[in-house]
Amino acid sequence: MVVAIAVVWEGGKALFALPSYQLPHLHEIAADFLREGAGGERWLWIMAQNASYTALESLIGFALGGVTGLVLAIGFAHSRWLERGLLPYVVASQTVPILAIAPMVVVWLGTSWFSKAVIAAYLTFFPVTVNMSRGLRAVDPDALAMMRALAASSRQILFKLRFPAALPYLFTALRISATASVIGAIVGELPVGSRFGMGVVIINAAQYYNWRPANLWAAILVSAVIGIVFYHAVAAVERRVVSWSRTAPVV
Amino acid sequence: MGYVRDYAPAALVLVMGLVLWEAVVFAFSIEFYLLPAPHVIVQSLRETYPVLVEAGLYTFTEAVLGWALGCGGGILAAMIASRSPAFARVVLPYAVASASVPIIALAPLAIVWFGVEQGSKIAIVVLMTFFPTFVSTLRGLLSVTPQSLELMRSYAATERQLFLKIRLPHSLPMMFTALRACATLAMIGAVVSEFFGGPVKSLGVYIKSTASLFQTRQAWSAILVACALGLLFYFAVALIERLAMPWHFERGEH
Amino acid sequence: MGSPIVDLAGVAKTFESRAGATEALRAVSLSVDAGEFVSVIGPSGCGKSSLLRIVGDLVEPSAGVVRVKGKSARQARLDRDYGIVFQTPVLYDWRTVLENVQLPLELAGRPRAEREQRPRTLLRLVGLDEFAGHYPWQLSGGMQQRVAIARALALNPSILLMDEPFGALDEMTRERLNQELLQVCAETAATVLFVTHSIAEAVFLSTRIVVMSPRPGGIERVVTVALPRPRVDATRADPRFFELVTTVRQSLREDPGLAGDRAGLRGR
Repeated sequence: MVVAIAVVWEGGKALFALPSYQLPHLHEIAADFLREGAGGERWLWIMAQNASYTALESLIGFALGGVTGLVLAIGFAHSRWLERGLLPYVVASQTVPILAIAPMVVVWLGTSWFSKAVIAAYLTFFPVTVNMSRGLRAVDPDALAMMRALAASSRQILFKLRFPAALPYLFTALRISATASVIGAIVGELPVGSRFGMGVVIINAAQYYNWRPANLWAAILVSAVIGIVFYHAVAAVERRVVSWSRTAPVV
Repeated sequence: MGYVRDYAPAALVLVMGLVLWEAVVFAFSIEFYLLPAPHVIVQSLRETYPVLVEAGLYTFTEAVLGWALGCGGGILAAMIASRSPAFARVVLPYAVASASVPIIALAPLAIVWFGVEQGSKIAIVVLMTFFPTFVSTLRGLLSVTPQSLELMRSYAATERQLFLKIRLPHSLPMMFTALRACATLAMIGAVVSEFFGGPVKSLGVYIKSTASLFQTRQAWSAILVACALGLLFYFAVALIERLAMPWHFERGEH
Repeated sequence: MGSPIVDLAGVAKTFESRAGATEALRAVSLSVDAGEFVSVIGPSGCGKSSLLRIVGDLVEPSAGVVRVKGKSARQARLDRDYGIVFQTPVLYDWRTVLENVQLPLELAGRPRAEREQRPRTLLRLVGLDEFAGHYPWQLSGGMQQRVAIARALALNPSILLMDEPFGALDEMTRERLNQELLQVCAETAATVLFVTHSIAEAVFLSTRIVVMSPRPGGIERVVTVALPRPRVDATRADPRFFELVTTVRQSLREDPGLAGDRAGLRGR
């Protein structure tokens, strides 16, 4: 796969005679990682620092959003009124460009890592809530009747039946959220005032693009890798946890 | 009366939320630059109306064009890929995994390639909407049951008949689910791409710059416009869906 | 009686998979005459569905010859000599009941007048003319299967291939549809090859019953059903009906798997 991309990349560059300004050689991008930055540090190190900063924001946001979404979904499963009152907004929020309020969150919470984590959290929270409450309700009625026949308490029904049954739905949401949380963190770093993270590196690299185009490509590459690693980490956990599931629901 | 029972809680939450918002802003005398009260946002919306409409249309055009190209391309690519199920099964996992790439991060590069104006934003929206549409449509086209294929074979149906009469209508529900989701995605893609850089007359730049100047009420009214346009887009696609698949909605489950 | 509608000679089928080759059918020879109703019955895995699919040119035989109306199965399929009904109705959500029955006529490019008339006649035949404008999901399972039968008859096929068509229905619906199927066959003079799990159903419907043995599938015995026609509810109470059911059941017991047990008993 990597080889195929490299071939298409360099092939396309040669075929359309694209200058390095539009599409740098792969080795130029690789070389950028070894270049020394203004502070005398190698870019490999600068990227690694910023990448881990962004990754940490995403991770905190992912955990925060995941837990909030879970709690809310369980609340919905318990109270029809809560569900009828709030779920329409959770669903409607998926139809509006919610990420547009990212700059406002930064205004409220400042430019520290916290505001980024919050943005990552709310991108995580929506799919988890929607999918999890769908999953908790998607229990086989016969299985529910059997639990009732065994005089199971509602807590037992939740943990022994509803929760396991909802896991495939949960993981489908978590996979989407994994990438979304990285996007949230990066977008949260865009507003003026942020100092660390891949969003900042990308904005700066874009400003200096005319001088060193490979820098932007490298920054984007690193950002993409964070997203891909997150996504596949969740997918790997999913395969272990819900290995019994025949069909993962498609969202 | 079912309507009242179903929608009353939601309406109540909306009213309570707005009242609470106003009350909190008033009671704690929160500075308007931090959190403007709803009536202030509405007021600002009235004042800056012409600017917002211009910016809104500018960004909305990007979203709609990008959506049309990206989804159109995705559907077309899925149709071609479905001609060879073996090939489709090879590409499908990669197309699914493309969901893991934060495509929005490519926005500054798109500016290099397609200019700082609408072209670069359209390109990002195209990239964001192409893969989900491709994956859903392809899955829809390929999920025809084996019995269905045997039935068509027993009637000596041609490939063309199989495609037009069975595979295509069968794929519509999944295709439209993607088209709806992509409408939202397109609006997000257009606004957020503009955060990375764009002309002043665009919604994203407007939101980002007013927010950084603590002109919060202007930022909020612009966000409101973005949300309204997003909703409009979503429901327009949902309406087309209803018209395209009357059989799907008569069940009353949707 | 002229030449048979279906003529199988030495048909065999071996499925190749990663796990190795599985012999599904061995040396099956059978012929079905016009107007006959032949049931194929046997335990799971005896290859009866494969046999049906080989006749319908949905599966290629590994060996042997299949002739349908004196033609190759492939030619018969291209000439649209088949009507097929599966266990599931396979109706299309986006088509009304009438449009579902029209589908084969559309595929065959039949003239408009026929596309309008024929499906209505067939829906009347299966008692669903009132439901022509409904969508399939608005119908019960039994009604859906009747639509599938009407669709299978749309092109006036030389042979009707039915793969456990009533297997998913409850016993009462199944018996009613058995009765209706016989009426439909009488009116359309259809020739039927019918795969089933149910002994009573096979006896009630058939002129002949092919009892199959498993692994690899082969014909164990052919039972001729000489019950009078038309067959009605009273037929099920006829002593000869029970005799035939018993005969078929005993033939099914002559299973190589069980034969071993019997040998063991004899040795004692």
